[in-house]
Amino acid sequence: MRIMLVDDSKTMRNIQKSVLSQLGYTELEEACDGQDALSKVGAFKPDLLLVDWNMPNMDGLSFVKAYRAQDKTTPIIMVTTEAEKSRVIEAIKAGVNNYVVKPFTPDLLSQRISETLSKAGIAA
Amino acid sequence: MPQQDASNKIRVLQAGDRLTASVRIAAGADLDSLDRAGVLAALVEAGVCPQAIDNTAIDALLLDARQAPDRDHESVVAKGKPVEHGSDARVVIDPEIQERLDDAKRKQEAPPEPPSGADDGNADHYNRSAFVVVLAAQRIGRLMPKTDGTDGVDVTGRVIAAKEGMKARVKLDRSVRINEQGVISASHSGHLIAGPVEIRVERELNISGGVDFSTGNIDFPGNVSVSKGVKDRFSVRCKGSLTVGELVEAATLDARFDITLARGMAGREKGVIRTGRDLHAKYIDAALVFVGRNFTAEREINDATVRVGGKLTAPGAVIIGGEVGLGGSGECAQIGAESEITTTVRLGVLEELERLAGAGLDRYEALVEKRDASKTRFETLKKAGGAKPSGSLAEELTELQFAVQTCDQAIARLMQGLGETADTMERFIEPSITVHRIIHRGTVILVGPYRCLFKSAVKGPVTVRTDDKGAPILEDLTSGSATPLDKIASVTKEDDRWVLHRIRTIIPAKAA
Repeated sequence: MRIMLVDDSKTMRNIQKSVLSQLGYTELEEACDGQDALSKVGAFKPDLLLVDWNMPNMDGLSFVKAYRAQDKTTPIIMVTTEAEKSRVIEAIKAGVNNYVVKPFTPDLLSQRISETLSKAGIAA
Repeated sequence: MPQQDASNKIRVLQAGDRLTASVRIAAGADLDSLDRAGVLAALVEAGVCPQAIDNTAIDALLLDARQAPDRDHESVVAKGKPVEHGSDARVVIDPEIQERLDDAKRKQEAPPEPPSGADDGNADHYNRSAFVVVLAAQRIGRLMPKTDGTDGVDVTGRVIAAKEGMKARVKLDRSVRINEQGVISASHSGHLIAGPVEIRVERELNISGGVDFSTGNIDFPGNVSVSKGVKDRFSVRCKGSLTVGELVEAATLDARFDITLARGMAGREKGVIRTGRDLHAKYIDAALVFVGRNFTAEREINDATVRVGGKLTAPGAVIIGGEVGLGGSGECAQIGAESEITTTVRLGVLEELERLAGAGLDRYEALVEKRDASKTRFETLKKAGGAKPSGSLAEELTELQFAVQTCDQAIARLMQGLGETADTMERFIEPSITVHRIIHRGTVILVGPYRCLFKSAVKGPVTVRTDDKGAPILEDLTSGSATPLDKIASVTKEDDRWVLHRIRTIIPAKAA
């Protein structure tokens, strides 16, 4: 299972990496913004993406739209402080499969990952 | 046998081994009538085989003779093929092993001089062993097979038969293996004996003398037996058992299994003994001693720091000075001396487990502190940030929650480990010591959290142990009566010193 972490905060990526490694996922790739992520998805071919919303260069929503133009199926979880309903709807319309609002607990992130993979029909 | 053609004054000469034939043309020979055919005829007449004759050499000889007819000329004009006898099979030891063997031999024949200074820090000769140790499967050398040789032919055409090479004379037993390529390797680890008549690997190292400059330090993968003693600053380490026949000075002994000292160690506060299983010695003086299992001492444990995982059996021995810690029960004749020298006996101590548990407790306390600090800061920030925290605050809150959860997980794992450690300690410790003759004033016995200082002598036979509640008691083995130790000695309770108590404060023992 290959998972890509897209977040401009290294601390957040490290937290996500720790949670994922505890869940047994070790094939991880990091990107520091949307542009960086777009340049890496082709080679890495992720099975799941965790994407922050607010990032420099290319924000998470723009990345999701660009990515969905080439890949309709790979599940995406938006991990963000944007908690308003309208923002959540906007993200889902753009192609996001699930949503985690910061601050989150490791357990919550773990739960969202499991349910997203399950809905997508991917064995965790 | 030279043969001469009278008319032409030429002679054919064959070498003693008949591998060459020469022609000599005397000065004044009739060279006008002498040509190659004439020389060939003379050679054949002399019994030289035509196949051995070198026409070019004949022509060169005739040319020389014609150019200087007034002197004798001689040249080899026929050659046989020399015989090549077969070579004997032989063992070629690998250069690195051979170098070590040579070095060990030199050391045994001429031991280096001891260092001049008492504290010579550059004493490399301590580490130059006089024994070559090989590990299992380590390559030692190669067996070069014998060869058949090649027959030769002399100038008369007679075959010279080659002698076949001999089998290797060196004896190889099962302690070494030879593969199809002739590579010789050790079947097991041990002491390599490699000489002209045998190559073998001994599982045990038997040192007929002592461990000193003639042997260097010993580091051996099996059992070691030293007939004499071990000198100051030398070390003997082995992965089997160790036996020493005479006095061990301030040296280091380290054996995975048992150590038996026919006499003992005079450690001068520098000697160290470490054994994975049992130690048997007549006496131990001023040394640091770690015994994995049981320790049997015959006469004296003097001014030594001793840790015994199992039992101390020393019914005729005195313990004077130093500190003796026992995991299991103990038995000795006397503790302390009339001079009231401080002698400490710790009962129910499993040093290694206590050290591990102590480190675990320190880590536990640090984790709890970190978790609590993270929790407090999380609550404070959450309250200050309200319902919709900023992005950076949300990240910090996530980080704090992550820290709390990570700490909780680590604490849970540590508690499980500490609980199992405490269970193990409680299962194995047997805090009791029987003293047959006397416990002298000044003796300190540590039992669990209790420190018992004997203010007056107590005559034996007595046993110091704990009662059902863990409190120290003195049992008179003559009358059978038991007295709380605080009636006889000055007893203080030091809970924090006792690792088991610290663990049990966090993790209570499971109900039986």
